[in-house]
Amino acid sequence: MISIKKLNYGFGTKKVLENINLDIRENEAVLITGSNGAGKTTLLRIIAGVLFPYPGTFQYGLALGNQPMSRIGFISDQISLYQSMSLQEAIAFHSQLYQVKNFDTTILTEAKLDLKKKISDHSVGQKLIFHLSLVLSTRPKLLLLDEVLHAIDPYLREICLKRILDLLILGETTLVMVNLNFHDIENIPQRVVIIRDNTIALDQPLEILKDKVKKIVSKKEMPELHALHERSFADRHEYYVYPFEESMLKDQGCEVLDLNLNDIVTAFIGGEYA
Amino acid sequence: MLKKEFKDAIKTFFFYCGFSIVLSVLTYLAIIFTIDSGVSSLEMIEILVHPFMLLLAFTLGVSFFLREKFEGAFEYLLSLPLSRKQIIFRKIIPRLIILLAALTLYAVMIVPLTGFRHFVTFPSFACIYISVFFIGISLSLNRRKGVATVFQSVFFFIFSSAIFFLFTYLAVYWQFFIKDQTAYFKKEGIFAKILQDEPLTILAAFAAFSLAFFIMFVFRFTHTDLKNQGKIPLTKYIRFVPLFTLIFFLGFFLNEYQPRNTQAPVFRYEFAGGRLLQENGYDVFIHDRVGRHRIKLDISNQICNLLIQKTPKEDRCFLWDDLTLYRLDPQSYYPQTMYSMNSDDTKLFVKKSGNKVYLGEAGWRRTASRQFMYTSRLVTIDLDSGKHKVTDADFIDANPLFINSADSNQRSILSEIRAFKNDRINTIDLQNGSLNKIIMHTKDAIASIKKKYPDLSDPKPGQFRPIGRTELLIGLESKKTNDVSIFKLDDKGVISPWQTENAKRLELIQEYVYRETRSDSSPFEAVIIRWDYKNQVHRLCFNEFKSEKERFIRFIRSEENMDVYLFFDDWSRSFENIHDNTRKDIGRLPSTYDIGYKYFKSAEWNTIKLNVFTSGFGAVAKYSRKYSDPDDSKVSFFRPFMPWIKNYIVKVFAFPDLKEIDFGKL
Repeated sequence: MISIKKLNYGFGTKKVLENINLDIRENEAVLITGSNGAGKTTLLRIIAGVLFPYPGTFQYGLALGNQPMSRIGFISDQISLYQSMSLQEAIAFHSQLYQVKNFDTTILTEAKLDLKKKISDHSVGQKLIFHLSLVLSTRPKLLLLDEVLHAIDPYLREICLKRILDLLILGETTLVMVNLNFHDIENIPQRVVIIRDNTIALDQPLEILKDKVKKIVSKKEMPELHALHERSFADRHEYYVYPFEESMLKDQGCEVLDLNLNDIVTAFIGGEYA
Repeated sequence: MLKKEFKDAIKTFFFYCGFSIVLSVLTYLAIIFTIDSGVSSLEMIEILVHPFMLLLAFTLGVSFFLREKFEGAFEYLLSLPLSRKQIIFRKIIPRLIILLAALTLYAVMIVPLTGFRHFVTFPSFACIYISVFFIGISLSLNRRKGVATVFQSVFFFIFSSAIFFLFTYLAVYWQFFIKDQTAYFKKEGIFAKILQDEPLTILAAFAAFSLAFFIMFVFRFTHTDLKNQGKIPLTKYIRFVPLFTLIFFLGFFLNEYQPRNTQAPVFRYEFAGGRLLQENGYDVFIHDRVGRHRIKLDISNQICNLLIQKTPKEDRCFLWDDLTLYRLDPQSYYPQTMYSMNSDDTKLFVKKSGNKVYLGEAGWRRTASRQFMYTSRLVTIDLDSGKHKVTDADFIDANPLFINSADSNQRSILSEIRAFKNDRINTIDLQNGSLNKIIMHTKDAIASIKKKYPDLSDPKPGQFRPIGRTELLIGLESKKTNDVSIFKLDDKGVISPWQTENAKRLELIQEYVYRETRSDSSPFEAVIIRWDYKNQVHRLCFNEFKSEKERFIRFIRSEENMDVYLFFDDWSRSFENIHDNTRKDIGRLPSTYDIGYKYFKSAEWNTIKLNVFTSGFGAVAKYSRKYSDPDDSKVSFFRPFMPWIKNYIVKVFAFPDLKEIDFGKL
């Protein structure tokens, strides 16, 4: 779907992305994450065609056709819409450009949005829902979402996620999302890409990652462990290790715990701040 | 997207129009109530409309991405399924349409009213207008918001203006210092024929500059990262240096070598030995009885400024244009430069006596006390050595227009230069440039007339005027009847009655205008024109009398077929367009101040229709005391508030007895 090779990007002399190599396959759900300022949003914008990479190559796959931009749905972390348009006008404008014949207003109806009101008259969450409905209406082959779900209330978030999951289940969409909040999306990504120090530090399927990242809880200190991140309390020590191997335990009477997505990412990011 | 962009462009247009109207009204009110400048409504429109039009173009350009900037929709725009080039195309089309619609509206409504008298011609204005639009677009990628955008745009506007003036300097430097200063005035291209001295090269360069700017904008938008704009290495832009250079020189040389339209009017003058000298545009020819010979040097730098002075019993003549006095050898038809003048100087007379040529000129000069004063000088040129001597003269406040010469039959008419100062007729001492000999007081002349004709009243202002170089005409009203008697005072001080006119038709004799002979055999003719300050110009008198051919043609010009002569005084500011009976536009007065130098051809012999655009209740409503003849200072006019258009039929002097010259038979 997307092939990125040796991609670099910077603002003036400041490097934001360096030597990025990434292949995203069709119908895959990829989570791009990392600490603040790591370059996640920039990478997503490059994929969306909003920014130009240099140097490096960036290619859209055949699945996106001759006009890839028409098959890509992109929602930025900053609301980017013609705010003075009414919802109706924006729908007409968007539908005309993407040649959408029947615009699905289900989400908008659920969210009780007034189509005659201007976009600027709505709250941040409502604007995001509207933008999401615009993007989903085009049934994009590639959906790029940048931190959009956290601002939506739980009820509507669930509706939106269901719509996204439906697209994924139908095998119509490839999803690339940038997130730092994983509570609701635990089951969506199949693959996790973590960006650290301007480059990709980890690129693993989520299932494998869950097998390889473990939390070891011990009453004793375990200095020989090469942990990603560690935390010490009065009665115990916690070690986040990657890759986990059984041999690390050596009969020390410690406990090994599985981690959820949030903990895994926290472990990687926490290591950066240590 | 086109629909949205149309809406955006129309919104910008109307917002700008509203702003302009409010500002215009405020400016107008401020000017008419605070400054008694004599500026009429039409002139006000003219003053305001041009900068507003340019600002409109700039606003439409700068607002190219305005909505995206202020509504934060830039990312949304760039993520749409449109290539960057498509985005530019869809955004520029509606703006161009509105831009051109505004220009058309301007051309249809404003240009006929104002007539570009003090500004560039319409095509050139359109060129600047479009250029400014493109420069505006180029600046629209600036992603700053609010006041910063305004300041930055203003800065770039000033910057581009500075570039404009840089081109001006380069063009002028090229034309005047590198190439040939006279070449600049020889342009007769598509634009230049409308106004000779318009800086076309500058416009071409400016247009090229804006185009290059626009190309750079397209490159930036389509090939570079907008997020990173301003931080792109300079090497990315260096590639545009050859492009800028190429476009600049392309515009420069396209202008330089564009096909010229040489449909210039023809002027004919007598020349020594029965020859006829013909000025055709920028070429000067001599017609003799053998053929037509081109003078071997372009000496006529500016149209209508060729003057000729023959010398008695010598087969040579002197020509002068605005800058140079030449001696012309009829055998080789090659002009020899005698003296080069300052371009700001006014040439007053030229006289040949023996082996010397005397040239009277006036101009601003720095005195010993380092002050600038308008002074006159007498230049004496020795024909044998070619050297010249300059003497300060005191005929600056006189009217030294009348010179000696011989007509084509070598008949001496007047041997001295005449200078009219106050009510005296003087001669000029050619040794020291002073006024020395008083031939006659004009009041004595009037006294002698009144002695003979006691029924006549004192002359009104404007009723006493020198006519040509040899005679004076004096118009005196009868105390009993409505007639005005016109007398002629000749060189020897003899006064003779000449013509009687009805006073109603001769309310105020404003000027006397001469018409030249067309060949050796045709008579010299004089016409008196009355300008009655109402709505008509009349031919009052028409007569024939033998006289020296006059060169004082300040207010009249001959046309190729000698059809129509029309006189306009300096202050007759209300005339804009002149049409013939078929409503075909036959001429335009582009400037208030040089109206007298324009001539118009009529399809009909007797009448032309004159569309008079006035801005007030009076036909001469734009009259301003500032430009008036002191004699006419009592005349007052309405100050208008609203402009409108009036049509007048003007009787134009006809010359039914003139015949065409068959040059083939000469």
